[in-house]
Amino acid sequence: MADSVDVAVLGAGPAGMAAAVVSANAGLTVAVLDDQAVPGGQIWRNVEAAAARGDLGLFGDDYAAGVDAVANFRAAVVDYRPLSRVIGVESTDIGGDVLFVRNGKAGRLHAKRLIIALGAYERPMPFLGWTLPGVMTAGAAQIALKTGGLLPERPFVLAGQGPLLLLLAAQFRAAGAAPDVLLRLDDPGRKWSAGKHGLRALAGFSDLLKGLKWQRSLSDGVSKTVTHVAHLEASGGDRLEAVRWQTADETDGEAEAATLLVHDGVIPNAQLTRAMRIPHKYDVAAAAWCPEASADGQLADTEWAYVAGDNAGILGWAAATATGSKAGASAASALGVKATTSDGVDKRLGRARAVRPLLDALYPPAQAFTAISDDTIICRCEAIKAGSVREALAMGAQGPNQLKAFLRTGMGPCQGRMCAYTVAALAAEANGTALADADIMRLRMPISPVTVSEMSHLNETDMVLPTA
Amino acid sequence: MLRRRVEPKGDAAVRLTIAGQPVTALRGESVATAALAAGLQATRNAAVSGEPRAPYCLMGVCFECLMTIDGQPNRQACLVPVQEGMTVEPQLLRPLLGVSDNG
Repeated sequence: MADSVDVAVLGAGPAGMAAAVVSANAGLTVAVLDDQAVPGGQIWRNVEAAAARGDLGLFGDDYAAGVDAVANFRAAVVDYRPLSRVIGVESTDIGGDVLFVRNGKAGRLHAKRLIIALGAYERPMPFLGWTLPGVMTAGAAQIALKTGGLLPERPFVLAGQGPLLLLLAAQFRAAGAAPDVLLRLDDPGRKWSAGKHGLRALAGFSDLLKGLKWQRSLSDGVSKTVTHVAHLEASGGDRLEAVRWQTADETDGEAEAATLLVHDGVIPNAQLTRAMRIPHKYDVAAAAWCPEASADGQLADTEWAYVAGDNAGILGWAAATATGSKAGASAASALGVKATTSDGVDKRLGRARAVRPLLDALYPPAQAFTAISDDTIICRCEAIKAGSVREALAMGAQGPNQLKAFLRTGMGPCQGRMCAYTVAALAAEANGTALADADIMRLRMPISPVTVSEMSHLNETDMVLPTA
Repeated sequence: MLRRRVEPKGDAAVRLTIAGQPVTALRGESVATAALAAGLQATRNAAVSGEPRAPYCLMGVCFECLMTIDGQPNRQACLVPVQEGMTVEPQLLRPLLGVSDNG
């Protein structure tokens, strides 16, 4: 018998859980596939265990909000499949199939409607030495703290910008590990130029207060804070030993370091929607490629697929619960079932949308990709440097897709997750195109590496062949 | 790089072997964080350049934590929860090409 449901939800973060709860409560059969072992996504990573061991206080109110959301999800009648890696989707006559790997076997799940809520990840930020052990993203260290109770070893340098950096600094400090050196890559002067978005943002007053509180305490417990950092460099033999920086007014600095955590905002995880050939648009304010979708999340050019949460464009967890809820209700109504969205959906979404232009204006990407030095690795998997990409473009490579043939940029196991934005920016620069009109590399399924052994199970069925 | 705040004890402790060393990990964490807490510097060598690499994103994006887990190579260690008795090896392969990461 074929594995079949009314609604398949990909991702068990704020959006995926909300979508699943709404469509399940409407009486539909729902399966949720997620690559983690427990629900919550990245923001609420491991929240059940953290609550059980009394660690919620370290992470603040936004994290604690995950306790109820995960409990509601657990209570809903949902076929939850943790530790499932989605490798692709295929449209069929009615709905389509989700292809995934679980327990070492590829499987196929048919669904009438698909809700994609695969979240976001940190914007890759290439600089000289970022491949050294000892350098990782600030989000990675937060995950290590939430799941393993790990703290950065000192000397600890935190470098970056954006609202999440402010939160992470507060969380590390609460856990007794304030950074020794804080390198701020944002431009405090921007506060005034971003001011025009301030009035509108007042609708999200409580979010602004929260941000101001984090901002005020950002340097507490930090021995050295440097602002206006424009260039960053990590050095060491087999591991990180020192961090060097230069400020916008060309003042140099250096510090010994055992840990360097970096953060430059987050971008939608659009690997699947891009591999599905959904049209994507470069959102200039957010500096990110976002899938084109209707107000309730239905993806352009499809009848059966929706996108929700930060996968659709970065708005944060509260908005993600709202867009997840809306996508769940919309999928249900498309199947002829009436569904009720959770309370206050439009209010949450309105608040998040009101604050976003101010946040986008305050925290654009810190680093212009085009300012990356020639000797910096930009494709980590294939160890390809910015200089090689520039050379290939000067030799006539037409853009990100042809660069694959020239250099293999984006063709390693991460499939361009770490280099696609950088390659697009370097190609746009060489071609004299604005990013909004530029190409980003084409993706193909499977969107995650899969072994032949795993694939061999794909079309297994429970059908018993007739004997002669 | 990263150190543990509190050593796992009792029911929360999971015993496994990482790079030949006995390691006690926290139930619910990934093989990648257990390796970091155990002081393992590199989870693999970059397949092209041979330079040491370590987990970078810990959420399945960067593929720097590819390790051999219970004999199966190229597992994303950040997506595999620790289990009692697991055997984990870093992937210290010979580089394919003599390209250097840094300089």
